[in-house]
Amino acid sequence: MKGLKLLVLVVLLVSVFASIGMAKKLVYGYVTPGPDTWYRKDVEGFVYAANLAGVEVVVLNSDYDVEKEISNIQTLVNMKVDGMCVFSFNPNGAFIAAREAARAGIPLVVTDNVGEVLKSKDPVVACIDFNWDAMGKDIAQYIANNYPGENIAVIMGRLEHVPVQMFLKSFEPAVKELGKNKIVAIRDGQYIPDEAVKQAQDLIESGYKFSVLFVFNEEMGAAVVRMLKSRGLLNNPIKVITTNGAPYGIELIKEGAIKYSISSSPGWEGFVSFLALHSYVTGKIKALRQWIFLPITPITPETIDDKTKVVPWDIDPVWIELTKQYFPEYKGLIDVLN
Amino acid sequence: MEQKNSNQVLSKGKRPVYKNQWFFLLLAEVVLAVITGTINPRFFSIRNITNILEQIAVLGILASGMTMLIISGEIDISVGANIGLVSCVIAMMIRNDISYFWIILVALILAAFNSLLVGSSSLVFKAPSFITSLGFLSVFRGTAYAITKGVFQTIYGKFEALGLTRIWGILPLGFLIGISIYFLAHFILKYSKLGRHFYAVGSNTAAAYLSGISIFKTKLAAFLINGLLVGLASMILLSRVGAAQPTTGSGLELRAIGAVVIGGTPLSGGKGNILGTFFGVLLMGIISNTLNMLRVNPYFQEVVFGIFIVASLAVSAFSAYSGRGIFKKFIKQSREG
Repeated sequence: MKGLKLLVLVVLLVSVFASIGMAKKLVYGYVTPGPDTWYRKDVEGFVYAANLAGVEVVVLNSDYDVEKEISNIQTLVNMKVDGMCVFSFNPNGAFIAAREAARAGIPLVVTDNVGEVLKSKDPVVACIDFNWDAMGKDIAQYIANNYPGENIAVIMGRLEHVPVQMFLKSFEPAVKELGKNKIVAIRDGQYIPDEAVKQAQDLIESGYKFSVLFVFNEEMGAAVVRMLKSRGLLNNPIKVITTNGAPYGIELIKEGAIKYSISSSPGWEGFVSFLALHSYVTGKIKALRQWIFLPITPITPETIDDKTKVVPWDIDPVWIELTKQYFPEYKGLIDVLN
Repeated sequence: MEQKNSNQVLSKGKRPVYKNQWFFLLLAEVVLAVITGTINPRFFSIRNITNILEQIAVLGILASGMTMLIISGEIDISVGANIGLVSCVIAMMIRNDISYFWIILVALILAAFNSLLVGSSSLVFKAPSFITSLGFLSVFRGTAYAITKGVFQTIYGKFEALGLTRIWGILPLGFLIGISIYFLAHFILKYSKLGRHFYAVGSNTAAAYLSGISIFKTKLAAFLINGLLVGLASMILLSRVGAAQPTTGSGLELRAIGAVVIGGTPLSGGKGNILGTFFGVLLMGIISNTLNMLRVNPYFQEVVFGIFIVASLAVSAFSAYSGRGIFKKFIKQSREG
């Protein structure tokens, strides 16, 4: 009788613990480089999708500190999260994340690393990127079509930033190949608007002959536009072209202050990063080392008010629609989320 | 011997111009400008010169406040983060169409309050201001992140006067404000009681205390002036670029400290002048512009910037030493012994 009671108790305990285990909420970790607009929107997109799926997210901020980034990765490993997404500002961070995650058996997705981490011997689930290479070619093509014979000056973000290198690697040869324009100078705006303004002023005064100014993002672009406008040089003759499709950039494009840009929504990128990770963790997709590119779209007067072309940075249900369209492999997952 | 010493002190007061650090900085700048202008004559164009003046306005205002702080034996490495916080707050106010009167007031009060926090915590806890400002650097930047949620604050088409106006179409208003600040700082340091107190507490705190100077009030006054100038610099910077983010101003503190030290104010305090700081700031502006004028490859610009700074300092130091006869003395000593 005593043995039977013990058996019943054991069965009860096992079933209680099993039910707790079954009801256990998935927890994912997200390491962000710092809370700047782009990174912040990426986190928001990831968390938005996680909320829809009922997954808890632990977000850790590296504050652009390599050491802090490593300790953040280790913290998530120690917390034994069920999956990890790392957005590293330096290529090495992603490699370390891949190594640590592989050791701990935690699935990992890497954002905006231009596929560098896929060279690692440690497998990652996926790399989520914009096609910086295609962006470079697209911008070169736009300038060749619309401003043939005009010289181009370029103000990039940090020259050590991998997407910057990837963009230049396709932009410079594309301009040369098309043969309609010439790049007269490339400068480092360091993603700092004030620095971009300084560089633009110096480019103008140092005697470079150019009438097309490409600025790598709209934060810097907006500051440069302000300076050019105050000096009567905006569109007379200097035309500004940027990338990103940030909300403030859209306003400037509508006004004609920025002539052309390319839409790339970090919020949607975060959303897709979650789906890539979640579909692996839940066993819906088993492939490793996927390289997932988000589509880029030109921002023109025809597309500017179309959310499916100029994808919003802020949380928007259009992401769901777009994901179904461009990533049908996640359709089943999205239907469950809805 | 006593007579000789008193003569030395007297003659030090009348030190010829060529024995000052700032004079050699000026020489280095002239040499740099002549070389750059010979290679690219556009360097001397009015537009380029006014560009340089506009570009150094914010740094100059910050460096003026930092000079007074360093002379009084303190330092504040949170000024960049303070700028970031103040810029974000006032950018958000501008976006909400709040009157410019309140914006100017908030910028000055908030920046001064932040600077006083750094100063008072250092004085009350008897901790080096380097450490307390390091702590507050995180507080200010963190607050800016929290209130903006990391989102870029743009003020396109608004608040343009301070940063974009050019008097008679030539002189940047920001630079004129900067120059006025140099004059004000020079007046405070050279002709006011407060200025003399700055030197006194910076060179020997105990002696200053014994002679009746309130160390607490004097140092706090230095932090207050520094804060007000940070507020002014934040407004000019925001007006110039039309946008703010929590990282705005990041790195400016080191450039400001660098300009002050290059200008001849030692970090140990008690010495220095605003003229040296002006030429230190100008040197940074000229070097930065020169690199673009000479079309230096952007991948090498940082290296060349550093080399120029070290070379200018070396020229300045060697010239100052030779002016004081230190080399002759050294050669004589080595021959004798």
